Amino acid sequence: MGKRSSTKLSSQLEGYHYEIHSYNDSNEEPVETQDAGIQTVKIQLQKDVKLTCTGNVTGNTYVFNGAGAIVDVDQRDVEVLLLKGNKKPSCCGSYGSPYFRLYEV
Amino acid sequence: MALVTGSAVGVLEAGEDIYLEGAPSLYLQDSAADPWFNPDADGFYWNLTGTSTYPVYEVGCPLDTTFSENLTINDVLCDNVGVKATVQQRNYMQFALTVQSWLPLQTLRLILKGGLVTETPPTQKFGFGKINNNQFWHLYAPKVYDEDVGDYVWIYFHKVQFVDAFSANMTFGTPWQISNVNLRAFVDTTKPAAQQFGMFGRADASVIT
Repeated sequence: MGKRSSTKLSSQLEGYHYEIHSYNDSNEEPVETQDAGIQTVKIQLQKDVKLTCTGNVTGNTYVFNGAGAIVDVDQRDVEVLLLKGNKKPSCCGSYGSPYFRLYEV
Repeated sequence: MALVTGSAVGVLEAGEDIYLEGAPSLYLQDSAADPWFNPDADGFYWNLTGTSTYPVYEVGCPLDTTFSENLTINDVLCDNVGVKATVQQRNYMQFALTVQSWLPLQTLRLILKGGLVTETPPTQKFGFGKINNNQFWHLYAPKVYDEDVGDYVWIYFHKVQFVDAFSANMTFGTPWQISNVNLRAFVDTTKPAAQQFGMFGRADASVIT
């Protein structure tokens, strides 16, 4: 078995985190593996509550400490979170706002 | 019916044959937020625009709504002629009502003077503790009197607070009711003197031309 050396590069760009592993072995083809990047999206709570919720896809726990709180949410969880809101019509003709909105700087 | 005789002469502001019926809608927003018109072109501060940080709350299904004021009144009494005048000072204005819509808890906790709601699906909770006497609200109360064209009147207060002890009625066969809900409007010294408590408005394109 040939000498095996490995190098690991890790880098963290804004919203991304990935690692590259490479192996150099005379008996093996170089192999590179790259973990899937995690992209986050900022969403803002529009309800006057301290909210703890769980992402439907990732199972991550997100905590919002009151109205206006902004949290980085895994992009895979965003779609379902943006649908969260009052499911019943209001008593007086108004339409309640959804729990979250996308936050743009 | 016009008077046959004895009517006033000269410039006359006649009463309109329009009668307002039913309670206005009631909307609240944290007084830390600016009102929508801050001020408008006429210098009036009114209406609400909800934000993520300062949402607007709708007080649902009101009953027996009244609008009143509280005054300090002192007569100018002269011992030789009697009362010559009365000095009046407005202390506060007030909406009193009964509320039948208990949900959501985000609004209920304002009415019952509770703490911040904590939500972990599928539950929400808030506590009854010390009353926060430093929390004030804007109150906007519009009332549409012509549904066909959208003519409406509104009352707006800069700085209101839920005061006095509520009483909740939970009677068999009737909806739960929170009575003795009082929204007291205090003076806001940052506003112009002529509208330090708030204002009253009307929008009617057919009459106000």
